[in-house]
Order: sequence, then structure tokens, then C-alpha cells
Amino acid sequence: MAEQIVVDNTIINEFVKAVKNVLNITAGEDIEDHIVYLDKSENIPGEISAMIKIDGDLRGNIAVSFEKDYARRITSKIIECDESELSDEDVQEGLGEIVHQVTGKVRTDLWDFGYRFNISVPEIINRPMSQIQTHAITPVHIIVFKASKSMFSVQIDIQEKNIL
Amino acid sequence: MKILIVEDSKLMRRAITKVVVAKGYDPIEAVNGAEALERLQENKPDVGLVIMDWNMPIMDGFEALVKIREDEQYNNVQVLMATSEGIQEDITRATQAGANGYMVKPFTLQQLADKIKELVED
Repeated sequence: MAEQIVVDNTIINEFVKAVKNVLNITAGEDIEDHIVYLDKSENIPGEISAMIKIDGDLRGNIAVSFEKDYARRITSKIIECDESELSDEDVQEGLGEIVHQVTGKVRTDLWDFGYRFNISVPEIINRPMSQIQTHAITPVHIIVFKASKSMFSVQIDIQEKNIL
Repeated sequence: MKILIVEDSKLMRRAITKVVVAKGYDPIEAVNGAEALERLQENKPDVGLVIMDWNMPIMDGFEALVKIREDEQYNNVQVLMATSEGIQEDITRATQAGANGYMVKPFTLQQLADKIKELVED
């Protein structure tokens, strides 16, 4: 059987580190644990999502998906306001900001490993992770994170430029 | 003094505005670099600081920074880049183009407040 082409573990690890860093700094959130899946067969947590495109040495999509209540709580912490002051649109923007900051940090940290890529502005997707299409020829990586009061997921659907 | 907040994310504009108001300054907002140049022109000479994102549609923050620095009437305006662009080359490019400060996201609102104080009060 042919060997499966997978994304370098360094890249996945940088996403894990970036998610923990961004949520800790912006929202004071401590991530307790995470599990990486190589397909979407698991019951993936998250009701609303935000996605960002990357293009360059790495190309594809990065998406984050949160339960609605958790997304509202995190967004309220990011901008230091009461949850009741946030509209649904605000919460979606909060998710967009998280995926943007996570991907921006990964871009910075992978620079030293020789990876160069650009990132798009975030796109809000008002549906769960399980309904987001994947495109890369490499297997999609789903990272499920466990925080104090909720679980959320990050989908890494990317491939390296030199893989046809 | 007025502080111009240039951010395409409405949510982040709101967060930064909160910090600016808490520091006792008047916030004005723009959603991209082109709009920032218009707001600057309309509000001169009251603007003392521009807090600028980098990655924005229409005109990005770096291009707006260069245009601000090309215009002598804004010589006394401080520019703080507040962005996810954290590569050293980007930081060096912005600093050489005339940015007075550079903050890489993620940062806390308190860190932003401290940076504003450093640039306009100290």
C-alpha cells in the first residue's frame, strides 16, 4: 500500500501552540488538552465557524469552530465587555479575529522553518465544522481542544506547494 | 488629542476604542488605509496618534504609513502598527518607513494601553 502523504508535524504543532497562545493572551483561557484526528469521522465540536485562506509554500484553508455560547464568552473576554452587549455578528467577528491571529502567529513562527505564505481576510461560516468542505490532497487534520467549559475544533486543510 | 484607529475588524475597532476612551482621548475610526488618510486630513492637526492594522482591503496599513510619512504636515503624528504581521522583516520594514511603535497580535488591551501611554505621554 502506498505511503500516505501527511502534513509535517512541525506545522501541526505550530497551530496547536498558536491556538493556546492566542486564547490565553486575548481571553485568559487555558487549554487543558487537545487531540489530533486525521479525518472528519469523529464527532467534531463546534456550531459556528470562521475560515481563512493561505497561499504560498503552504496553501489551503484553516477553520476554527466553536459552540455558540463559548464563542460569545471568548469574544466578550477579548474586547472586555459583558456577553449581553454582543450581537451575533460580533461573536462571528470574534471567531474571525481568532482564526486570523492564530494563522498570523503560525505564519510568523514558520518563517524560521523556511515556509512563506500569505493569509487572506477571515470568512465567517455560519455552520459547524463537519459541514465545511475540504480540498487539499493531504488528509485534513482536525484538532479538538478541551478548554475549561467547552470543546472546540480547528481544521487544517492544507498542503505543501511542492506536493502535486 | 484625537487618536485614529485604523482596523477592518469592527470588533477590534470597538476594543481599541474602549482603550482610547479609557485613556481620555477622542477616538476616530477608519476601516482601511485610504479612509485613514481622509480622516487624518479632516481632523488635522488634532490627531496625535494613529493605531494601524496592516492587513486591510483597498489600502493596507503599510502603504498608508508610507503616505503619512511622505506628507510633512503629519510629521508630529505618531504611528503605532498593531498587526498580526510579526515577521522581523515586516517589523524592520515598518520601522524604516517611519512607524514609531509596533505591536504584534495577540496582545492584551492593557498592553495596548501601556503602549499608547509610552508613545503619547512619556
